[in-house]
Amino acid sequence: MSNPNNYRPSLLCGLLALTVRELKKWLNDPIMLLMFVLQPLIWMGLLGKSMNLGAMFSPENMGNIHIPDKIPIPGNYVTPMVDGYVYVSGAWLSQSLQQMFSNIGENVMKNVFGVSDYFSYMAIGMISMIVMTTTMFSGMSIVWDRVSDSWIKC
Amino acid sequence: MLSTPVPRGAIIFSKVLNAALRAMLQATVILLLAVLFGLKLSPTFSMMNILGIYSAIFLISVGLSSIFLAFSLRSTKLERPMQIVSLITMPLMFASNTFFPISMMPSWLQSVAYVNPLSYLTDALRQLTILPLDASRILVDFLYLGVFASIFSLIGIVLSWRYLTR
Repeated sequence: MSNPNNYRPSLLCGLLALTVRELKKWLNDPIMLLMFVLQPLIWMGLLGKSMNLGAMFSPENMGNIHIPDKIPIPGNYVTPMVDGYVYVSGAWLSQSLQQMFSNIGENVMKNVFGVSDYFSYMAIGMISMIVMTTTMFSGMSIVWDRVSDSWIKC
Repeated sequence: MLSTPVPRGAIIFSKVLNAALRAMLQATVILLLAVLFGLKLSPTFSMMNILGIYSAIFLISVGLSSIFLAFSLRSTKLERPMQIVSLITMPLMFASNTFFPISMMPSWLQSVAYVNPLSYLTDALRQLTILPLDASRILVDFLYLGVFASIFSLIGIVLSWRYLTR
């Protein structure tokens, strides 16, 4: 062994020392700490809030259906059956449809995404995205260790 | 870097642990910010869910950082691993659950999304925070994440034994 004192620290002690060393190297850098808080803020605030998919189902976007003034219903579809046609007022139909549309957006979002707004759905997706970028950077930090310091065989 | 008499597996494992700690801290920040921005928590949210969130993030960061470490073990320049890693980052991110539900995707993309560990992570996290908890699905998620973490950390440690010299 190249160690003259024959002192070999235990595996756990070495692991702890290395981890603390890595953490200190990172926590002492103020720019990294700033990016740590700023990156999720920017991603979530901009991407999350700009993709407002629930606004597709707002009454303005769903209410522009042309409904004629009087809608004829054939007599044999009405109970009790009548001869000829029964007329339904178009204004009343469009008003009740508008009331229905105010709920449809929420129900569609709930059926597709599971929650009624897209920001909640995507904020959790942001967590997994940022976890991936964090592990990517710390995985590549080994290259800096290989470049800057020199590996000495123990 | 190391003239300390520590086995090489410990070097890799300390980097993996470091990545996991960073990822957990950053997830805390994100959750706090999301609640500030108006995240809607599900009615089944409790303190146990926070433990589940941290364990899921721990598992996936162990697996992912082992993969990324394995790609950058042999290189001394920064560009080579950066290119390889950025090649697999984009597909992993978009062929998964994070932005759109898998049921909306075409079938060829769905087959990738069902293998992607990120979609299992995102599904587990969503069930723990915003959706009502579904026990069978979340068990499957954690099982997949555990298998993924163990397989890839094993691969990373074995590769470090063979290749981590000067």
